[in-house]
Amino acid sequence: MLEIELVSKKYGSGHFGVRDVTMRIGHGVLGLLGPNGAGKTTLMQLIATVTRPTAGRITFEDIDVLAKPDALRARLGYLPQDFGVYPNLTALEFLTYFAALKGVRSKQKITEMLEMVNLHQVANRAVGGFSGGMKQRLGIAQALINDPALVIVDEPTAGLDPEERVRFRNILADLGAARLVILSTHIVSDIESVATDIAIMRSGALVALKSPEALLQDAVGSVWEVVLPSTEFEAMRGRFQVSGAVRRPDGVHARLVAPERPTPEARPAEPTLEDAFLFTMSRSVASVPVQ
Amino acid sequence: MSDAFQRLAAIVRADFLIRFRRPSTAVVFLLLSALAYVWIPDPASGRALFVLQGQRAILNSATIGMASALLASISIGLGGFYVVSNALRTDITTRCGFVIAATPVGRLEYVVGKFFGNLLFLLVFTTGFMLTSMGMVVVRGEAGLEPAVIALQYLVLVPPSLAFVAALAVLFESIPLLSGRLGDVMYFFVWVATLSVVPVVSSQHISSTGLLSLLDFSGLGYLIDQLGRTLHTDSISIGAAEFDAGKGTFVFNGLPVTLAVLAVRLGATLLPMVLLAPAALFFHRFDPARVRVGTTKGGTGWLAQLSSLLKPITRAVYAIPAPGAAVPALLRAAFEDARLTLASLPVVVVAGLGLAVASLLVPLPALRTGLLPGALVLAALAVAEIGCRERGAGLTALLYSAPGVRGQFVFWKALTALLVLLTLFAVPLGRLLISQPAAAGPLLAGLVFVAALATLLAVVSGTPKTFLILFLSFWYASVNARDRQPALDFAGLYGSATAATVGGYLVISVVALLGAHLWHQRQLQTQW
Repeated sequence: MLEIELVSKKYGSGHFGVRDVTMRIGHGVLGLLGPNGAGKTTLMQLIATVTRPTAGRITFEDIDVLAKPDALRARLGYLPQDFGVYPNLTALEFLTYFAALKGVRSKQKITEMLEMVNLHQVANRAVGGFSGGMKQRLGIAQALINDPALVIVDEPTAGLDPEERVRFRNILADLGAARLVILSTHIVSDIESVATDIAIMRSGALVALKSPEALLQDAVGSVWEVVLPSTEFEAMRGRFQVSGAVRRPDGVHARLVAPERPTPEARPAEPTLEDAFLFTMSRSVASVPVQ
Repeated sequence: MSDAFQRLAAIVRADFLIRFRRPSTAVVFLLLSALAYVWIPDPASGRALFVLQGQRAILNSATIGMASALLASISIGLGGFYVVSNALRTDITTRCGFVIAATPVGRLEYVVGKFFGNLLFLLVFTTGFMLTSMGMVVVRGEAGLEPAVIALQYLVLVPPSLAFVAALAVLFESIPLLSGRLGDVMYFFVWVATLSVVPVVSSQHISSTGLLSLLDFSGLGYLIDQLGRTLHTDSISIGAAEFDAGKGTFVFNGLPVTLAVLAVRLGATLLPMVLLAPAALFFHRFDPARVRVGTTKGGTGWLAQLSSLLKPITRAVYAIPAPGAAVPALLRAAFEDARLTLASLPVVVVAGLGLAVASLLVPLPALRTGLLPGALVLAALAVAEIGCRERGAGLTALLYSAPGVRGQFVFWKALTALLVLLTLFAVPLGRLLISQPAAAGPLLAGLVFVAALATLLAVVSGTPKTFLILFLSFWYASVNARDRQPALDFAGLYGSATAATVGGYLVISVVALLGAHLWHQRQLQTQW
């Protein structure tokens, strides 16, 4: 169980990266959603002990993470955003290095990890020549090399092609069965099939922490489908949240998120997670101060 | 093996592999071989490696070992820092540091690991140089090869220098203020300061100078002291020195190595490790609140705040009207690049304003021999990165898509550097033009030389460090030159520069720019 109590990170400039975040999470995949600058990366860095909060308390399985960071670090797998590599090392050397830093001595484990992420055939190639997807897979291999109880991955699918994204999602879904995986993204489709819980952040604050089903339930009755002429659609975009739009011969088929029926012709629609995210974000505008 | 030792060994190993597989490492190795060849002259050339009152020592293992070990020690002290002071920066720019921060690696473990990584890398280079020197005994020696004799000379001279550079590089990288170009310049003066113990150590016996002997990292003080005692003279030349063939030869048997000597040199090797304690204390452990990712160095300290505070001053740079369409496109592009350079260096702009005011107030002799030499160090800082700035920021592709830049890159950057220098030196140059016109020409030629050298070295090496170390070494030799030799008075600061000096530096500048241009064209063909 990961418990975060009133955690804040305030920088010297007075700006809050994260403000008064409280959450309790057990096993599964926690999808951390929010627009760029919402505080997702800062929250993950705080949990990963990369930086310290200016206020609050973080415990993992009853260990005070701030007092004993090494106790968590030994059981932590972390893949930061825009993860880079040492280009001159081979995949095997790179993984051996991080295995040693995490106290893993088994060469068998390193080989298994390379096989798991399908890099065993290029284990002796310099990673400088790897594609973005291969580097990310190597990143996830280093994150899992110590069989962690807590895995934190920050925007892991950025820059990956569609095939790699699906592969990556499947790896994370498998991982979540036996441990806590925290996955941050600003792309809802990255988590909708794998997340067991979803946390939504905005301006450093946590605005929702619910199961996907609960989030979808909240949005029922607030999602509408409407067909509009192109000329009216632009005006509609200024007044309502648009979660999707397709141009067809009869006009623009749009999905709108609004508490009331936006036009007399609008038909209620079954919410998707994207709709639910926009609905939650729109409700949070009034309650969370913009920094 | 304990977990801590395993982590330490992993850091050292990875650090070594990352560095050793760079193509530049092979280049440096080849240069070292060439250096050994040049440093150890053939006596038939009229020059000898070791000369005592005009009499030359025969080229045996002891002579070559002592002289090459001294060269290795001084070269490592002078240039080694710039080779190894990028270990933390690599972890920041790759963001692997964030992963390391999420592992149980402790602060002290990490800095000690990086220290030994630096040490191992420098040690391998030193060993390579020693092996090359052994080869020179075979090639030019006048006695048989005795590897143990050569190794002993290295053992007694070089280790303190290795440890000093390795530790100071880690300390400087751990302190945000010193982790960038300011640290590069500061290091040079720290190293020069350590040489100040040489006269004291060399005038007394090693065992009686106490702590000062421990600060003789280069081993120069010990060497001069020992040579003076065993050879009973102060008239010693090491390097390619002229000798009197009529005086015959003498046999040098190597520096005497006693237990007392070994103890002092061991102490001098261990002493720099004390610096690892403050390094661990200052080390940010990749805390994003203290490290700014995306730049090549940390910059959230007070210097960054000072720069931020002074930033409004640089707006004045943009108040200068841009050249019109009648001005050649290359010059217009250089003008914009120069504005960008100055706008990004508010501290340098303020120092430049200070230089301008001081240039009007101080007497003319003080301006030339006191103010301008220091200003040239400021100038070096300002222009060192111009030729490789885009490469460091990953903007090369963007830049090459701009019209006219790709093919004229070197001349554009050289022109930028010259415009920056002319801006900083406008007032002192103007005063010289009015009061002492003969001195203005050499200063102008010196600025052209600085701009060309900075451009050449930044374009070829891809880092500002190469220019900084070479220029500062040259600058130091110039301002401390005995008898004010005209050849070293590159900016006419001491009034000894002749027309030949000015012409020579201008020719060197042109050759440097043409060389950089050819290099750049070759890079374009092979990589772009």
